[in-house]
Amino acid sequence: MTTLQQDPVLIWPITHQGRQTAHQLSQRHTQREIVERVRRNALAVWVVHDFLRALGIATDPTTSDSWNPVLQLIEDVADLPLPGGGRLECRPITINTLTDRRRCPIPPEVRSDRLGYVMVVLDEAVGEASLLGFSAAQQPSDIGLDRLQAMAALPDYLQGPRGVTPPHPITHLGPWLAGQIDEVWQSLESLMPPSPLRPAFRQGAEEPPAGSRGVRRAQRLVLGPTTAIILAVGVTAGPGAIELVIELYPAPPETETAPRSYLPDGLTMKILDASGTVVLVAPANATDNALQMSFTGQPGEAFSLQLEWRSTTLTEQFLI
Amino acid sequence: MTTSQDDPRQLAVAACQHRAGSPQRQRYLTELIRRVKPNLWRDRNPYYQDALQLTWIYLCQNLCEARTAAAPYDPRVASVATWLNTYLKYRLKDLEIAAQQERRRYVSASDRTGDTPSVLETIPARPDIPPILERVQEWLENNADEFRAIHVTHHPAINCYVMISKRLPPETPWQTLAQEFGVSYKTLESFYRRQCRPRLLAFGRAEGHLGP
Repeated sequence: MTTLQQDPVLIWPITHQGRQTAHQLSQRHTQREIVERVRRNALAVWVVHDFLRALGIATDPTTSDSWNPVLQLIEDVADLPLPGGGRLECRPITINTLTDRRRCPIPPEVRSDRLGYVMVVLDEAVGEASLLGFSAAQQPSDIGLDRLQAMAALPDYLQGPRGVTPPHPITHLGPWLAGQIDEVWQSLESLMPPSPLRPAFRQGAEEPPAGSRGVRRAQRLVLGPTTAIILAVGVTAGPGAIELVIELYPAPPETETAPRSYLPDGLTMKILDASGTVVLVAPANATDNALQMSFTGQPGEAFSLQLEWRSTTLTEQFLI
Repeated sequence: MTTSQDDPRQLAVAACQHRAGSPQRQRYLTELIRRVKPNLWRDRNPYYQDALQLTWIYLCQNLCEARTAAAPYDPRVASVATWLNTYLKYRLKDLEIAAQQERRRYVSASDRTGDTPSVLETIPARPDIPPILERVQEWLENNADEFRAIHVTHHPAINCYVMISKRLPPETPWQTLAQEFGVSYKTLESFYRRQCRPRLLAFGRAEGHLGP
């Protein structure tokens, strides 16, 4: 549901603590543009933090990427981690640019891993911020300021069911055997977690045994704010049919460097045929460190893979 | 939307029909704040915004159940704005008194005009820490071998050492890097995010502890 900008718009105070904190953070840097960027981003984050705090939703900006001095140097980031997991991006808009354009550009480095985007107009001269609204857009390159949801709808959105992912394109597996593989599918070895000292390989993650004419590729899929898995799909041309092997491995989230040993508890993998009927199911136990399913199909057949974990459902579609 | 739905008293009544902490209650609280703010007392007190933040917390905590107040808001007695203005003015006074006490502690020539002392001036000077950029560059060089060894499959030139170097100020835009390396932006960004960024994050956390 999108609503036009409300009148009056929601105004939120910029407190002394917010100004002071933002200033202190910015003073770690010497480049003028970065000092200003860090300061404004921190202010925007702080205002949203204060707003949620008043409503009784406690957030901690100090654990955000936007508080991280090294990331501040490299990324235009203004994230606010939420207690239930996930992050809101709080984009600052300067008041005098507001009338010029009605779209707010979103830097590439903050287009992923965000529950939503809050648009914050900073009027530092007056000491107030306007919380224009929020957008639940995924992977946006920019956000239209006239198509925002009201801030009043944010608590509902944050506490409601999540895990609606944008539709994935269909992966064509037949061309894999000819070496035509889309770049998002990587070799399994390159996705396995690196050790602090050198890249390490997990047992069982080698390429299919020599002699088979199979191809295996993998993708890292994010299930939740601190949970990811590695999905590997193996395709082999067998006699009279295409043999498929689907594997799941635990993956470290992007914020840790130590690998997890087990798959997320409660994870279920389902294979559905073209009509949506479930043909294979595999639940993961807390002690599983990998999951595997094998089946065969014919060229031209379509199937989908559904991964369910808590309230998140990921669907990958394939065409053999 | 009719006027009555916008009326603060109606919003207050509606809010209290929902459980404390529920998203429905929070929706009405947000609408109430938005709607009542223009009706609140306004002055030039330099701590006005701080007082306002306290007032919103007070509203959310005492509209329906009295968490910090003696009694919850009663729509039969006063308008929401009147109820809040009482609290707001008390907070403005408190903050003014606290600020005066601060001023007496940090005496300086300019304060005799009664200006609010800059809070920033009263922060003790930080010990000498090299700027972050220098720290990152040093860290990068110290770990050059390790970072060069982490690279995109079949592309040893696209490694974390190069990626991080190019992204430090003055940063090379992603699209330019993609062209230079001859791979898609998606591959580059995905590699950076999975392999290089976690190390930057960890280093930044350690550095953050050195800060003020």
